[in-house]
Amino acid sequence: MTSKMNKSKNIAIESLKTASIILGTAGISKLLFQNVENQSIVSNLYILATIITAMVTSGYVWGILSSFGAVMGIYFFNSRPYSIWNFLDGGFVFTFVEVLCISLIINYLTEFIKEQRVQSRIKEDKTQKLDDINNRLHVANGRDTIIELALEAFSEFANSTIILYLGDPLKGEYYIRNKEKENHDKALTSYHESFIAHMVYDNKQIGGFSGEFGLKSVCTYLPFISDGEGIGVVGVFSENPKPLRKGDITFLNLIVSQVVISLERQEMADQQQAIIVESEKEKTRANLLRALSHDIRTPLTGIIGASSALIENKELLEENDKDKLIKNINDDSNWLLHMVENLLSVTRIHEKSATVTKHAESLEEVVAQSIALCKKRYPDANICVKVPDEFLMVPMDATLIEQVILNLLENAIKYAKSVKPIELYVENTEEKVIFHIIDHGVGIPQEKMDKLFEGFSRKENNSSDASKGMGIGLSICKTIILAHGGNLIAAGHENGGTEFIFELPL
Amino acid sequence: MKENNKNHKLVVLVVEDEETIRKFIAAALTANGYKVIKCTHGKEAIALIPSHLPDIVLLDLGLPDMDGLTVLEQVREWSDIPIIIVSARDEENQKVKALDLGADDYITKPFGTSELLARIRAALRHHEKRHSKGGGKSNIFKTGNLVINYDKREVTVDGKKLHLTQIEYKLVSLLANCAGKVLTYDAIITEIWGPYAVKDNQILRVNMANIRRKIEKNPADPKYIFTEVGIGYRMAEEDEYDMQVEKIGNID
Repeated sequence: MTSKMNKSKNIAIESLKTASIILGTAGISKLLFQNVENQSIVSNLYILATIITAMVTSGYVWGILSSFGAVMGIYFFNSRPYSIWNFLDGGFVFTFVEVLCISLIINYLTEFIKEQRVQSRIKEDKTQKLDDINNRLHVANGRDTIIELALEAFSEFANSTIILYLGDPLKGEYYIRNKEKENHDKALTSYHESFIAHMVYDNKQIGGFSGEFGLKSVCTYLPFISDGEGIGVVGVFSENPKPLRKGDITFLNLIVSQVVISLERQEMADQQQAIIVESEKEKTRANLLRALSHDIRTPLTGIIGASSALIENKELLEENDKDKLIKNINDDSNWLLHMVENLLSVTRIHEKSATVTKHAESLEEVVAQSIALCKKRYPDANICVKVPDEFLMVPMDATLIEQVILNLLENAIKYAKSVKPIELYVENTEEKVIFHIIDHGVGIPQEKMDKLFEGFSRKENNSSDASKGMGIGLSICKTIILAHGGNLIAAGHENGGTEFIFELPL
Repeated sequence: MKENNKNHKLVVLVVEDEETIRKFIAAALTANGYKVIKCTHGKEAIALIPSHLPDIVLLDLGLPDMDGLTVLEQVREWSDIPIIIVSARDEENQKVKALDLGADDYITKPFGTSELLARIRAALRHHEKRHSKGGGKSNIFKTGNLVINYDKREVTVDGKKLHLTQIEYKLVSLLANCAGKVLTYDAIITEIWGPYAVKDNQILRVNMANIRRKIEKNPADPKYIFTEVGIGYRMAEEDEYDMQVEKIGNID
């Protein structure tokens, strides 16, 4: 409705302009030049009128109409009587043709200039946008951001659907940005198209519709080249067979090179990051081994010592001294076992991703089993347990979580030195399960709290025998929980004592 | 019940290739009145069982010449002699396979003497029950304060009658029939839902969770039905509950 109205409004305005110019000229001629000798003034005036009309109206129609009007005006001004013979005789036809030609030429020039102006504004706009996108690409962080920006840049500039391939198109990593409301996914991802894209990638030459190869394609493909190697392809969709203009291709290639630079930059940053992570891992591994050999040697020293004492001095020792030595051997061995189980846990954590393989397990069953294992080792332990009423299945590595609960319970039993029962209670929210292990014992001094989970930095730790490997156990617990996507913290509990809290995502 | 009396010592076949472990097991068993036969290879075991007819076999899975499971399979073809598997902590798959192939129980390395003796006693007791003259189950099962009356299809805890669904009752009575023995998820599903049932144990877990809430005071600290995570379920033995209170430590 409105465009029709607009159209009629435009027509009305233009016709008004044309008419008023011609009539104005007629009026001026009549008034000013009625009795002047030089008749050509009026002719020139009408020609001027036509020129002005051509300039201020759009399209060729009004200019042509104005030419008619001009000739009529000249004729009516000049001759009496008015008749057709007079018209044809007086050479007015030629005048008409002249004026028409002038009008057409002026019209053409005017349209041309307007077109140019529009074109140059578009170009400027595009350059502006390109600049803007280049700036954003320059600082873009992260592969996803770069891909987003690239898609935006290409689709805006080309104003059509875009497909972006990273790596070999046949390997299948692609991103499509459809022009509003269109969906060309099927056509773009057909084997035919991806093969063409692959050829472009391989040959590092523009291809598809606007390029070499002469294959039937719905896109023009431009290669991304970094260091002489193809790293991707961008395809610009075009519905009807209309090849891209050279200027457009140049512009697109500008965007392409900027994207390539950003991708290269990202690659370097990623590599640097990987190197840092590797060296951290190395440091951690070295620390772990160092701490381990200490923690393994200690109980072994005890075992070797006690057993050799028994072997060599059997006759000289008192009965209950012998019993004590034997008990020491048993205790130290159990300690070693504990250490080994902790170590084995670490092997269940995937090294590269620092995650674990999870299965849905029944929460109450895992808790029950952990407590049963704990009671087996410490039959006198006093443990109070509570889990949520609803039946919960939690994704986890059951062996590892049992290890964590065991470690925490054992720490509470051995170091808290409390008469009151140790509490283990579990609560849940929509997204996670939270475990609390609380003892009402002596508590942990603030200075130790900060380093509690580090385990391996033994620099100032002289009283390390008192917390015999509690550090490693806790740091492994933390590693396990982190690998599950959760977190483990320790806090002082009111009335003394300590509370360990860890969460598992559901 | 056959006991360790002077006239007839029970015979244990220990199949274990590690010398120290073999020696310690032999020492512990002999000290407790069992007669011990030792061997180190699967082939030996397969030959010794029919010739010596031990009362119970302790079978290590990690044998040098053949897989312990193969020994198990072969023996089970002609004998239901009680067999206890010795395995390491993380080998859940092995344990499940062994149980499904017919092993009676398993014990995890490292273990102490008391645990070993308890398992042996339990396995012998079950074997006894299966072969006893009465032909099997009495109509009442009692462990701790849990009583199952098979005739009336009634289950009571602390004197109160419980409302169990059909499936729940079937599960409880199945576990009670094999009290003290661990039943794998697959074995339970096949028994209750049939051999063509889907082996996804979700439905079993949910049922067990509901049962636990009805039977146990604290589902996270069960006294009657124990879970072996990753393997299956085990009901406390008929007098196991009392032993548990005395802290002999049968449970695991």
